[in-house]
Amino acid sequence: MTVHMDVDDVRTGGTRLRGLAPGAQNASRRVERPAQTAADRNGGFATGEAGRRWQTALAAVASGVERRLDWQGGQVVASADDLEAADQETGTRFGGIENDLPDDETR
Amino acid sequence: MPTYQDALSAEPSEFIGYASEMTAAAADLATHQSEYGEQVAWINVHWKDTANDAFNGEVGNVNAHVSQVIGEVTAAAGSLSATGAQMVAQCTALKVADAALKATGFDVQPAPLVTLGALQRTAIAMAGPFGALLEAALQAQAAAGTLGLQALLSLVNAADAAAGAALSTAADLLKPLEDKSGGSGEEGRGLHRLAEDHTSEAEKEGASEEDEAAEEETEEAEESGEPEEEASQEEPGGSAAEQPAMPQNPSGMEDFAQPEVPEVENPWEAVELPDPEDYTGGLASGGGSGGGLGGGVGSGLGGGLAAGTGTVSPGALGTGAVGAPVGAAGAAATGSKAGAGGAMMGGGGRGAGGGSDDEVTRESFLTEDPDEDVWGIAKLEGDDNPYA
Repeated sequence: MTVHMDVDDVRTGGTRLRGLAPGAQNASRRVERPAQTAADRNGGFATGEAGRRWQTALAAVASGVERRLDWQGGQVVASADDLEAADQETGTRFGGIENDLPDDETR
Repeated sequence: MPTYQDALSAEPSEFIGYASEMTAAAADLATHQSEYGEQVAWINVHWKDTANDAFNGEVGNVNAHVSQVIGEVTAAAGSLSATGAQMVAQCTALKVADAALKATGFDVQPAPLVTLGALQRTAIAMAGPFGALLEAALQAQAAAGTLGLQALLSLVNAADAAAGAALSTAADLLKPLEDKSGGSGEEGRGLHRLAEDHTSEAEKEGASEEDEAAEEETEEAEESGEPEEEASQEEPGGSAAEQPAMPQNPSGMEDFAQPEVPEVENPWEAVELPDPEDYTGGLASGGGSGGGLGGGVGSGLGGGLAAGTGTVSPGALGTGAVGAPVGAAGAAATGSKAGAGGAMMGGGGRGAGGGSDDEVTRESFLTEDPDEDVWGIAKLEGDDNPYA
């Protein structure tokens, strides 16, 4: 199969992915104050408390997405690091083999 | 459930505002998902291998989850918006009715209950002969107003209950993604490990077969172990069966047998041995009290027989009493040699008692000092030496 990686680009992509992760919280942050206000100004209404619960559940979901994206970004960066390390190791190995071969036999 | 006063002071329009923010939150999630997709696409341009396939599988999971959440948020927003609008209308009607009744001079109690106001009572008093008619008319209006307010309040309560239940259900539907295990140092190895897992399916199957075989062996071992466990569980009984056979009841003593005597202690438990120096006396008296210790082992001897007889029979008191004279007779018949042997063998028999023995508490007279006459033989080298 095709194996290809622009290591630096992939590493950058993974880092960007990790930076993108906190954006998942925007949604839950947006409804945080309205949920609180609706509950406070409608005392005795079950809808107010349920709305607060819903906002908490959404915040948990957003946190889960954030952590997953952060994890994925870490995976991508680590994959780039691993491939780069493997490439360097292979290069070092071939270099060692080349040095071990006598000059006569190579001619 | 809101009370009448709650409904009057409520601002259900806030629910509508909340619902609109929910819709905006769904849009935020969609925007974030779009940015995520762009970033993933950019990564995919620069990366192609098995690990990348695994990564894209993960991306698919997250996209599916986020899409589902967006749908749930949108549905919750729509539901809350509708019920919020309903509550706005009902609360507004309630406030208008309350204000209208108060404007016409009625008092509205929190129940809600509409009653005649002070001005109305003054008017009734001033109406003279028509006061009763006026009061009746006003009371009818008050009753109608009460019914109207109660109906409106029940509608508000119903709408609130429906909206609350819908939101609670929507909250229960929101399930966060499970966290992936592993710290930041190790987490990145997951995809790459998957990419480097070149184990062929056949090898995996072979490995799984080996595992199954190992499991089968384990199961067989467990099955074969069960009888062993059973045997080990039965061991106390078995060891009891291996204990020296002793007559259940001496001939002619059947009447003394008492099958169940709670006070009888375990005959194999550790008890204090009789004084080793008191051979003859200990032999005879041991038949009654500590008979089980020296029981079967010493049964070949006169004293041992007496002790064993005293032990086996559950009626310890009766048989003990019987054992004493028999032991005494045995001792008298066989002499001091038999008596000494019985006592010594009695010690051994106690040791064979196994688990219940306690070397610490039984005050053993055996010591490690080689110079000491641990067996007490030297003391017997006088007149009473049975081995002389």
